[in-house]
Amino acid sequence: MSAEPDQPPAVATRLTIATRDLGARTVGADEIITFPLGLAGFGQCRRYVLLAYPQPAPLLCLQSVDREQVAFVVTDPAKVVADYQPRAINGAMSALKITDPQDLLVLVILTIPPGHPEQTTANLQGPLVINTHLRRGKQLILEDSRYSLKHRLSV
Amino acid sequence: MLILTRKIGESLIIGDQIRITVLEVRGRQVRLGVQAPGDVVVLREELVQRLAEENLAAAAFRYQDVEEIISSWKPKTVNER
Repeated sequence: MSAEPDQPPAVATRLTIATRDLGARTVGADEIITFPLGLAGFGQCRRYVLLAYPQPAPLLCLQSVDREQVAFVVTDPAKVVADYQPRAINGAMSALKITDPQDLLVLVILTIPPGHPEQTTANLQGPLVINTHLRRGKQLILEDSRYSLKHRLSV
Repeated sequence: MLILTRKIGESLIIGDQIRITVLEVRGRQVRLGVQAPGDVVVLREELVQRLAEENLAAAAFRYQDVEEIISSWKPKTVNER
């Protein structure tokens, strides 16, 4: 793994990105979150931004900056299950150099079967762990049998 | 691929800090022990494949379904937790 700086990248610029469903969006370059290893199955997409949907919602859009068509619907795991405490989060915090717990952001990806939103599931086995200060993240793969790849939501 | 043969109880050492030991063989199953530093991720291969497949399925959502979820999401009240 190449040495990553421990300071957040110094940026003041804004850029306009094309999104999958939300048109063109202008974001600060300091909003870009880098996943050095990408997400499983999407290794070439390393840079993402978190976008709000037009309507107020407990969901966010994780939009790839590298590929317009790649985006994920994500949410706070606390909205899905009480007390989400995978053991592996601690190791991920040190790997991502998170020293202040307030810099830790954990998100889970929702799978919405096309045409069947009532069957939406949350991926509790592959959470996204993000250092919001350094704007760096990784997707964990949990060997923890408490948490399912397809956790049914009660929407 | 490097191919080596081990008997039960024998080990492989990978790099400086990883040891894999054959603990038991029972029928078609091999039980392995892995000693590695805490920051080394050790996973059953099929988990990585399954995660990639789930991410691919998740990326195939229809935006109109997201809109429907948002419009019908009922916020949890304290009592419902």
